[in-house]
Amino acid sequence: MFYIKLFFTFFKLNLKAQMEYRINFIMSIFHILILQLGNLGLIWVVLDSFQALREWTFGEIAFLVGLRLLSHGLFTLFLPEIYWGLSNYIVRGEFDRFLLKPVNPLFLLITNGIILSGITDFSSGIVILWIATKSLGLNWTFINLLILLVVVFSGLLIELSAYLATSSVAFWVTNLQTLNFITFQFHEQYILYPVSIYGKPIQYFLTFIIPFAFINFYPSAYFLNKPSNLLFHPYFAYLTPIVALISFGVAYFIWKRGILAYQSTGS
Amino acid sequence: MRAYLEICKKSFQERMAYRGELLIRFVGIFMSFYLLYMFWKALYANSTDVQGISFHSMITYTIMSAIMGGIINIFGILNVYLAYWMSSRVRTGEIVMDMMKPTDFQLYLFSHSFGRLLFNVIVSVPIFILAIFIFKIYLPDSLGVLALFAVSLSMSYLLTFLIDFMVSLVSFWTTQNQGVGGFTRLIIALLSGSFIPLWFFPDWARNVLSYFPFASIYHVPLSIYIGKIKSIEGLYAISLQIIWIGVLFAGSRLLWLKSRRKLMTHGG
Repeated sequence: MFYIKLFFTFFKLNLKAQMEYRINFIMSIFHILILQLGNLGLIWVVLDSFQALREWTFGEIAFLVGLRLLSHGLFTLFLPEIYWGLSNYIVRGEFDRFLLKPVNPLFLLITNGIILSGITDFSSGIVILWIATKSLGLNWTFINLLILLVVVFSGLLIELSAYLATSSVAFWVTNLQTLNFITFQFHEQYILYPVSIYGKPIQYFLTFIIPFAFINFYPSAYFLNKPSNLLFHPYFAYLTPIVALISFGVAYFIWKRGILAYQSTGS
Repeated sequence: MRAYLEICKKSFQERMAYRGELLIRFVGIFMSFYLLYMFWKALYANSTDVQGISFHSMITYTIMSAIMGGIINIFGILNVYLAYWMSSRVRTGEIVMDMMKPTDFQLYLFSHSFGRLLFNVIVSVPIFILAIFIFKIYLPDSLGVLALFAVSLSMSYLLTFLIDFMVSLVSFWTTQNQGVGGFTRLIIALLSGSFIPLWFFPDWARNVLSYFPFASIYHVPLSIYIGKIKSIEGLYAISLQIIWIGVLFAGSRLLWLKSRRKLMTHGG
């Protein structure tokens, strides 16, 4: 309860700080809208000549892209600090500030900033899902909308966990740009397309090591009724919430160990 | 002339100081190569020839496009470097110092950019060689084609520089221009054929695009490289590139004069 109140207080403060840069915000709205819709347009152009990407049609790929944007939009809006943040805090010695307060330091870190353009990511996600729905003639039942909600929040948790785990390495090594960048590339580019187009090692990697495939690929198999032979196992279509909890557990463990290592060096 | 060469050398050495960033660049670029390769492989799963283009040509086109982007995007993928530099110079007033120098401002920035270009070319050589072995991209049919490609690529570089320069001048009016800079790059990325060759675009879109310089940046040199545009047609496309350079050069001089006057009236 205390944390929820704190969360909204911090959110209000961050919002005020962001409002200082109104022009940047307006520019970023246009930028993101054109970026997302433009990229989708290019996929449409290619699929007009090629019909399908393996067995995936335009509408189905739009569904993948839209689903990713919904959870990513929420992540960008509420929790962007975990992205590149942690190593900066450590290098500048500002991380110690979080350890001195009677609140969980992870909570303090992730609520320390917002990026308002996350709203645009989220909204373009809705537009793109709508395009997918129209193109595929999907019927959204009440149950499916509920499942969508669970999937979106699980996706948010998976993204948070991935960046938490990779950023936590900053407690041991200060320069980890490359590692963060690889995670970023996988999340930003690779899962825009069905992961089944990649080689087996990448598919395993995106399923078991950094489980980004559970953000959009596996849940789409449920929503779109994709043939189960696309997956390692048909049950994977339902596993997103469980995977989200497990990855958060693992990431939180690495984070905890990192803090211990950090404190014992006495810096 | 000596002054400009010196600036060029300086900016080359400046880039050398950031060698450490090369690892990220290599990782990033090979991850994108793999993605592009698998993407087109999946598209070509059911067909061998689409619009007269084989899978092999398409991979060469798309990977050469990524390598080319690494060469001509002098000021970063989002063009934030030059835009940011200019807007902060305008805000702090340091821009006056640049203008008082006995060098031409545009030529000064060009020499700076050229030093970076040389660095980019050197870095892209090992990337290119690795791409030949890993992704089986091919070399042009003849030396003539290769020469034509080199000329066309140089024109693309000039076009990119002129566009970046004009966009950075916007900061004389708005002081904040990173948004505009990133936006221009985005439009170029989408409409220049850098991801998807323009021959896949619907006819109406191709018609509209023929009134813009975008195709001259990526589509022309890459089509020459893979042999989609042949000899005479290639020369025609290159002359179109040159015309665009002329138009944008005139535009950039005009805009530069206006920016100067804008600064003068503010008593800068």
